[in-house]
Amino acid sequence: MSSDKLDRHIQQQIHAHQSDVDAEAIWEAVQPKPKKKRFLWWYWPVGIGSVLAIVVAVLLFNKTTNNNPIDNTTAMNTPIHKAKAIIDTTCFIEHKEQSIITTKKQKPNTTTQKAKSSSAKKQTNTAKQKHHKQHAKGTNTTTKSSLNKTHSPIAQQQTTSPLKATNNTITDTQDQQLNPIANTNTINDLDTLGRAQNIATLSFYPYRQNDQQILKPTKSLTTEKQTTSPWAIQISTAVYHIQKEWRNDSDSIALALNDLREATESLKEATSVGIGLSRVFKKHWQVQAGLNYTQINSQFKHNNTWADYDSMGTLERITTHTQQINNSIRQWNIPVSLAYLHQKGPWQMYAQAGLQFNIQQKAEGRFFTLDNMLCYKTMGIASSNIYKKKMGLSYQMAIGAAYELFDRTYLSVDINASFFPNAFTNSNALIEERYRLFGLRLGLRREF
Amino acid sequence: MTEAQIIKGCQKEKAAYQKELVMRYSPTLMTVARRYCRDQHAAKDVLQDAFIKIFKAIPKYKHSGSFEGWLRRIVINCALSRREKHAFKKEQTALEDTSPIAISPSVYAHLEAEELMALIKQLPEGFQEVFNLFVIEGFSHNEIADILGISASTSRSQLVRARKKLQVILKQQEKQHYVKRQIG
Repeated sequence: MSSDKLDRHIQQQIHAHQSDVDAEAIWEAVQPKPKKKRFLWWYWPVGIGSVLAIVVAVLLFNKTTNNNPIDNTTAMNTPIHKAKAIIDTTCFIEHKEQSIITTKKQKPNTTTQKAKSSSAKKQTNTAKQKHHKQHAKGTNTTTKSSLNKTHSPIAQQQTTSPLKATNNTITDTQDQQLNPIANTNTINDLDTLGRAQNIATLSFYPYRQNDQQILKPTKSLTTEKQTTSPWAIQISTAVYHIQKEWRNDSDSIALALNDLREATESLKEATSVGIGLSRVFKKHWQVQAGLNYTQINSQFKHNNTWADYDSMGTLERITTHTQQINNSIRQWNIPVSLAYLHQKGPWQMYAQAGLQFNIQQKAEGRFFTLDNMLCYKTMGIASSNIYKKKMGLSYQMAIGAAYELFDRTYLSVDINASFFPNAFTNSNALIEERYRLFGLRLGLRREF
Repeated sequence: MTEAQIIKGCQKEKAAYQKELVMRYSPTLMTVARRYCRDQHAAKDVLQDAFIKIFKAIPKYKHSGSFEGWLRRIVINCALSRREKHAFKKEQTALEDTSPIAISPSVYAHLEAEELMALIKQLPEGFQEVFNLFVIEGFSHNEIADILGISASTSRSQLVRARKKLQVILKQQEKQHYVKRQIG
């Protein structure tokens, strides 16, 4: 038929036809400009600023603590410092060893001493109970003097004999006046303490099988060391506000896609649960590590409209269908952080900063993208493969407070922020996605 | 530089290969763009837009089918995405006689590409698109329906009307030519 011949003629003539075009001008217009490496100017100042703020805060706190005797007494409330106080006290014994030996020579009556040692032991137990009560109440009483008596019956014997200070009212001032060395020496080793005490004890009391009980203070110290483990475990849950940062190459395709996605996707919230282990390694410092699972949620909503025509090409009807899908990006985070803790009674204030290694486990939902033929169309996120698997490191910081609910168990609340300097998306994605999370975290910490 | 080398170079975002792609395919793709655009200026814009898309999409290109066909399809998509929306609705005509008109091959045999393109340009926009896609690009009615967002039956009816209209235009040209010869 003539129409077929006409079609064939047109096809042959036009299909291979080449138009006159200034290809150089087109190349000038379309050549990709070298990508400027954007300097993330505000990420580094935020990170460095946080670290500096913590360092300054620590220095200030330390300065205050050193100048303020009340704070020293407060610090004595913590079990680890109680142990240290005992060591300090016992140091006195070591220095006074010579005089003890002299005393021993002067008072060879061991029976009397044994009786006295029993009495000292009783006093020890009473004082110990008293001390524990004081600690439970969280009061800042003169624990140092009570500990002096509690764990150093020898010292008590030593001081009691010449001064007849048999009651429990020896104060730090008295102690200092009597034993100026005690406050100037610091021995941090419990073994030294044990040795010192044993030497002192054996020097004072001729060693016998029955006298083993005299060594109990050293044993009790060992027990105390075990009960004041620096380790703690924490579980936490958090809810975050999401702040997004989408970047594109500012060309017509990426801009149109960006607009389309802005119109169809709305961010909701992020949630996180985690478990962590922490260890106190200095007076106020704690290092933490753990595992978190974070989910960033958004919603995809799009109205699909299409027209149906009849066989004659006349419009029959227009149908609209609303598609609403919950999108999510799920990640595993491995946080490692450093925290500064300040104890005040049952309260603990803390500032924490650290890094997180992030692994994206899954991304689900639907979004607009370009297909192979560069048409905008909705697509399953999972099949698009635009999100990275390994996202690298992110910054994380928090400031908050914890309250001791019951023995060694704290409930903590903090304001938490996470910054992800690396993009969530792969390099082939038209839109580079970054998110920041600001939220509230609730935790429960148990010290061992 | 072979086609495969150009593809590979463009996938590595090498400027020399990208330039070669533009220089080699611009004339052919410009013809495609011109068929779907109202004027030369619009066709140039479409072509530029299409090349940007091509550079972005080429890493995804799978070596299945003709590379030129893939490039053409991108240009067509770019051109169609710019077209006036609901063009079809405006061009719906009343029921008309679609019986073919007999035209001798001698009427169009001497017509070359530029003249034929000018003839096609005289068709209503909706007819042009279906005619170009079916006759020149070789798409099926189902594919056209997918590209243009219309039903396959609409595509068929538009094609019949486009052919009829083209035949009418050719007949008129033949008459004018005949009259000119008579006068001459």
